Amino acid sequence: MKKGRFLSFLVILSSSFCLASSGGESQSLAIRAGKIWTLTDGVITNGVIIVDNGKIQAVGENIDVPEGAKVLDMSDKNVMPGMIDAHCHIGLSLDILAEMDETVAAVAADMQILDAFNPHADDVRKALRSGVTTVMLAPGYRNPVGGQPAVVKLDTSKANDWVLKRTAGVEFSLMNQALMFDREPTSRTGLVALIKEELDQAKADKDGGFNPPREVLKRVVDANLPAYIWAHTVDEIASAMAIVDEYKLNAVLVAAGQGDEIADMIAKRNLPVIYPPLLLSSRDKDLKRAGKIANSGVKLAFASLAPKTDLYDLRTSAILAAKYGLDKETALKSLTINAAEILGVGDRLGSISEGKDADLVILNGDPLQLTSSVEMVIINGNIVYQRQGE
Amino acid sequence: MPRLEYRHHDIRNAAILSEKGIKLALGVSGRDGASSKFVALTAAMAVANGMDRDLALRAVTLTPAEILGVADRIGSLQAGKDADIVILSGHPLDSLSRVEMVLIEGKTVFERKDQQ
Repeated sequence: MKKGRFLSFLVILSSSFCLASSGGESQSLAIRAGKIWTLTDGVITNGVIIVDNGKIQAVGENIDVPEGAKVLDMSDKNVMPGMIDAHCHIGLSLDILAEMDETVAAVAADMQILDAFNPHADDVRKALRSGVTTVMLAPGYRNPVGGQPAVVKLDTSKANDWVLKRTAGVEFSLMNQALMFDREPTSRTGLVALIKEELDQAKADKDGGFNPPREVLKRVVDANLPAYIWAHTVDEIASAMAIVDEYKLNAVLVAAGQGDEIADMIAKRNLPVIYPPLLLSSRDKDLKRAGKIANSGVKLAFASLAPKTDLYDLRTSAILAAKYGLDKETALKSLTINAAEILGVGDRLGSISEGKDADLVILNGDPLQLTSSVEMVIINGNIVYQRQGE
Repeated sequence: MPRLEYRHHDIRNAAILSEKGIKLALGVSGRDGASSKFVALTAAMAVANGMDRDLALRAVTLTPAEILGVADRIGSLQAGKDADIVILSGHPLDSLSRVEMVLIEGKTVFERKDQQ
């Protein structure tokens, strides 16, 4: 009798082990959704998304839910891919924006912004709450040749590595803010000359020697590392394009707010644009610019530049742009697949399609309505945010 | 940079206050000359953050009229009140609706030109 009890204890023990192994990371997840905004394959009504091992295994209308899968019933909700903030400064605990730029040096191409990132900072939670799952963390615009931006997922589940790209490129700035009183360059012309000189030296420097910024810049002039160039006004953008032409850089224009005025020139060079935030304080003329840029055939992504904006919400920019002439589908793509492609992570992120990372946002309405709110955020198949209350 | 007074600003505040029965008007009196043209969008944002739809719409029409002591003349479409009327392309809380026409005391003061 004693022996029997021991045996049954063993049976319970082993069956609970089985449960544990099937209930861990490998358990698949099935999301029934009222509307699925796939972004690459239209909108699916009353569909199912199957997630396995953090990846999207299947998506469609008539999909069987695998046995043992955890089912999330979102049949009255909208599901879209996790949104991507193409340039921001969150998680850097910046109270005086002091940690973004190395303002004493003009050239800081070896600085990695990731070294200042805290994935558990308050504003990371805020970003998640608004449906942003991946960001490009960027240095600021005060270094003519700035540091290296990184692409990170805001995965707070602690289950995965959040870094997609530690070195996603090198930042350059043609903005007036890159000029200082106490170090060169102090003029616009000097600013362009300095950037060119650095690129020339990187090009000429064959054997190297010990110069970490130059090692990084060599990869930029070889066009295997993108140049993210801050240029807001028409003249700044024109300077940026002249440099891109001369050195045949693989480049992205950052915060090119006035890009609409020379949109055809940007389109001809196939330069993507990361658009600065549209706010309730923006003027009508400025609100129309994003739409004009995209209508000229330029690939667009939105950036919050947070924490400079008061209330973090990337989606508001896309909604305002759509209200002022940006095609609705392009507006949504700018928050997702287009941003992913611009940042070089389009193979993993930006759409709800087979094989991509299961980074999903569940809203209680149309994503392009401000009345809709984010109810749940999933990264790599894990629920990382769930709205309280209701 | 977030201003210090916004550090603990919670976008659910409007919903929380109105749930407690507090009379509440929404505004855009922000920095940088945030425009009152977006007052309907702030109502939409309040809805997203838990405020009742009807109360949110009231918070940009009748409620502010009451608070300002002019509800006998404006704030609702009612016989006898001033003919201050907005005509939109869609629901007032629809973020993509555009204002097509505005009347004040029965006179057209705005008409949208680029009809699409």
